[in-house]
Amino acid sequence: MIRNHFKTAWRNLFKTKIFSIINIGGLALALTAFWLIALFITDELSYDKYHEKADRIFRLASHGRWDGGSFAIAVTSGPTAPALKNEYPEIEQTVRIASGAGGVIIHQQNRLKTDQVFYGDSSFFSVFTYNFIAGSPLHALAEPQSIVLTRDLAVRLFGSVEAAFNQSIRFRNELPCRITGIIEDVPARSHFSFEAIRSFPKDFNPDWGNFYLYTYLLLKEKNDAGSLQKKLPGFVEKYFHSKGMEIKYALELQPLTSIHLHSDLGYEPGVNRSVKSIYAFSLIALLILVIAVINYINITTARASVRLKEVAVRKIIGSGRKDLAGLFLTESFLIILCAVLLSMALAGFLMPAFNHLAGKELGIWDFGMIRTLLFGAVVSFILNVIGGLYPALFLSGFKIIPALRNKAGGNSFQVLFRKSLVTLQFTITAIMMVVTLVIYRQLHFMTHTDLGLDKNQLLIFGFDNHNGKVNTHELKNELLKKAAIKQVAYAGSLLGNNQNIDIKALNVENNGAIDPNITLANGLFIDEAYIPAMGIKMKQGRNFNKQLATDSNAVIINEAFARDKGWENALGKKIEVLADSNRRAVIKTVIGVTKDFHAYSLQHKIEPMVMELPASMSGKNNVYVRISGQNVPETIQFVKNTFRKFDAETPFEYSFLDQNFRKQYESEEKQGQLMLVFTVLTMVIACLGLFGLITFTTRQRIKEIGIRKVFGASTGSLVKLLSLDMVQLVVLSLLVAFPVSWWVMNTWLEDFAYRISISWEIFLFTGCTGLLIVGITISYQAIRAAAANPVKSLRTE
Amino acid sequence: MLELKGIYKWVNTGGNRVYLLKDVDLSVNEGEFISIMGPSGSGKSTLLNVIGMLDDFNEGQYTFLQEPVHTLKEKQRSALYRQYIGFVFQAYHLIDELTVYENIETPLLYQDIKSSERKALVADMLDRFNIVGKKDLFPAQLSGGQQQLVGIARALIAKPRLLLADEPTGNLNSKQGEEIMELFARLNKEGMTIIQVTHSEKNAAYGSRIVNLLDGRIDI
Repeated sequence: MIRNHFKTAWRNLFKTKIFSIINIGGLALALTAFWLIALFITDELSYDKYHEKADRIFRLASHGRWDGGSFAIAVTSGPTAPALKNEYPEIEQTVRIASGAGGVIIHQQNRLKTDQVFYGDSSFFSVFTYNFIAGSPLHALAEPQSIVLTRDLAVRLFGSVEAAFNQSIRFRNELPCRITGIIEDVPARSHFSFEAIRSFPKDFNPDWGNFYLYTYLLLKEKNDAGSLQKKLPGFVEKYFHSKGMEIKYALELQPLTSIHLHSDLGYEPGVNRSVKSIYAFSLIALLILVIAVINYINITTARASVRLKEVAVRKIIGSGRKDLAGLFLTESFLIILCAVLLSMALAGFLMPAFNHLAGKELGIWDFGMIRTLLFGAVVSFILNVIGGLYPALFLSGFKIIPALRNKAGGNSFQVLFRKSLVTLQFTITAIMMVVTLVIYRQLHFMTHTDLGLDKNQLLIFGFDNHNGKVNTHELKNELLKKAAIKQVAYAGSLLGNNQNIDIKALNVENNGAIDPNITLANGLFIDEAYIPAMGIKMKQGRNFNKQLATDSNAVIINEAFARDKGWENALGKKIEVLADSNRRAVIKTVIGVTKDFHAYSLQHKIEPMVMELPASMSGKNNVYVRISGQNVPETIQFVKNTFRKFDAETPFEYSFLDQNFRKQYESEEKQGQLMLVFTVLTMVIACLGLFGLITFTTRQRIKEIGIRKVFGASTGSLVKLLSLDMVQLVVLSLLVAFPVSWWVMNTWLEDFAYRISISWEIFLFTGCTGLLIVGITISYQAIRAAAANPVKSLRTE
Repeated sequence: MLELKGIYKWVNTGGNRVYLLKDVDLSVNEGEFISIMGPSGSGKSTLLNVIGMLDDFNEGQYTFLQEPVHTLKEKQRSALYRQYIGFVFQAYHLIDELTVYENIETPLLYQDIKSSERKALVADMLDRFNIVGKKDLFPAQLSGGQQQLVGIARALIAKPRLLLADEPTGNLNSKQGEEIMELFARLNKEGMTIIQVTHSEKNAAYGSRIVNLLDGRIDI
């Protein structure tokens, strides 16, 4: 019987080519998107799971709160980990990791700069699981001045793993380190990545008040986390609050495997993703699939009238309902099978493009061939149940005599149901269109908004002059010798790439006296050339002046600072800051207020900022070079050569400010591109379904059209007759979609400090585009039917 | 073989009750060849469908091989007609996607008959109707007469005891029609009970008895 079902189903597939193509094509497209998104999500969900003890590892996060401020950071202070281990026997091991261990690595003639180096406790490789090619996990970091390299870094430095092991390398200005281990590169599915881990220096002696260490705990039992979390307030009381810490402080245990999707703290060691985006992607994958399944259901049930006779005959010659339903299920199974196979091929073919968009390096079989195939089989089965069962039950349920006379089907419930499904499809499509449009508008807004500074043709390079050997003044003069270089300025921080600008604790004048309550503000060291070179505008007062010695006790603030303090006239106000070298407080005077400018990308609000002349060389680490737009490569080469004259060792690394800003919108840009692809896909699938439906209904009404034509109906009125139904549905979908998408996108926009408001033009555009595309889809069939010779169509009876 | 007593069938249209069958009494004996005649809309096909249990009726009693059909449930009724009744239609109603062979075989599939036995039965039927050479063709590739032959072969394959034919020659030319009627007569001679609906006096003459219908009533 099954064999016969397949035979009939197979022949049916070929007999109704156009509908088979629509069904299989639509499903295959949707499934392709579904597989790709499923891979993406599986990848996101499997972060850090490769560690053998992953389920027992927890990270300690710090939360602090005080009057007027708070922080939530991924780091703790140094003595916390050993004290915790002492206090609680359920902790098997702890490991602390500190950033900032990188720099220029020197090995013979090789110079290599990397920031991907961390200090780690000797327990690092027994808590985390990394594959050692050389050395032993237990002892690699036991001695001071040890370093473990990844394969990639080892090969870059030495040419091969073998050549690197047990060798000695040196970070500039430091003692040599011995390479005690080499591991395989850190898997991409890690919440933080590194190229090397070094043992802490001998004099590593962190204090309780300095929060900069990533701290991980390995518990003996994963179920102990809950009870341990409850004990932590007691720990904080004993070790922090009772020892004079004034802020409200709390420690939080974060499961290792949930960091990537659930943690969004300050000082995260890597780029995490919000779990919201995972939900969004899952939803999109599901919706696309829903749209394709609706196509299948609609086309199959609409075509029921064609199958009525067959159903009746089969019943008369002895088929029960079960057999009939079986036949139709076989047909849908066959269609879904074709679609699944096609979609797997398509997914493989589109994988590179998808990887590029999603910023991943995924392969179809990444999660195991058997698991993947099993997953495919389960999805196909579910699809068959959902997409095939309703049409099968619907088709097999007809009564014999009306069916034989072609009078069954098309009852009002059925028509309403079909219309609701079409409305649902277009609602989803319209929502996705609005979403895409809003993302792109916001992107455009972010990349084109006036930042309050001129980000174009501004080259920045880092200049490490910690030892003060170099006269920055000479470097500047040297650079300015070239005509293409217009201005050169120094600053302590790099703007535009969202690296943390220092946060300063200040005591600010209030009603004529210094307020003992702390004010937090961004602190930026700049020289007197910086404000004009960056194109930052002054609102009040003046820039720093090199000639005035008193300016070392002057500060310039931004508008946000003045606004925050409610200062009408900020000039002359006093601000107490900590001076650099001896940590003594110095009272400085405001001499100018700049207009607001963006130091961070537009996801971030402009925070109050104080700018000072650098007290030491470290305030001049970044050189900002304003160049002319002509012959940029030559100018870059000149800057590089000049840099070489002053620093023979450090690799020259530069960036352009506009690119730095641009990079901060990469994730939104990719989001936008992915949304665009999915929206177009959804649109195509939905239109495919609509095309199938309209093809069928016009065929059904061909006689009616003929008769109307004979009695004088114009082509135009016939087209209207045929398309009005569908157009009404589309309008209804738009009306449903608009408030929903407005709400969704308003929520999305809330993540941005500076955002567009969703204007009516977006909805107008969506509406018009939607109607236009639907119109084109419908009109081909409608016009063809309406323009046909009525004699022909009437003869078909 | 079967007996109808006081059969009524009606439909309600806009408050009016329209009778399709009105107080029909009919008894048919094993081995009879009955022709139901009457003008268009007189209820011929309805009567045939009621006899075939494809359609139900509103009032009356219907006994088929000692089974009181009016008391049976839908499922039992379909089991009954599947076992004992074969149908032949004016428009043949073959399944377009199946070959001649498969069309004839299908009723056996639904009765869970073994493959080897099916093969024998279908081969026998093809042989009997002289359509062995056409067994792999699809209905669309056959003439009307040939299609109707396949239709009859399909109706007979499950060895019914009653053959119901709704204007079996209505779509055929006179020569083809004659051949079908000859076949019916031969089947009847072999013992098959046949009830056919027809417009044609000539076809009716092949039967042993004529039942005339007028406005849903048997016209005596």
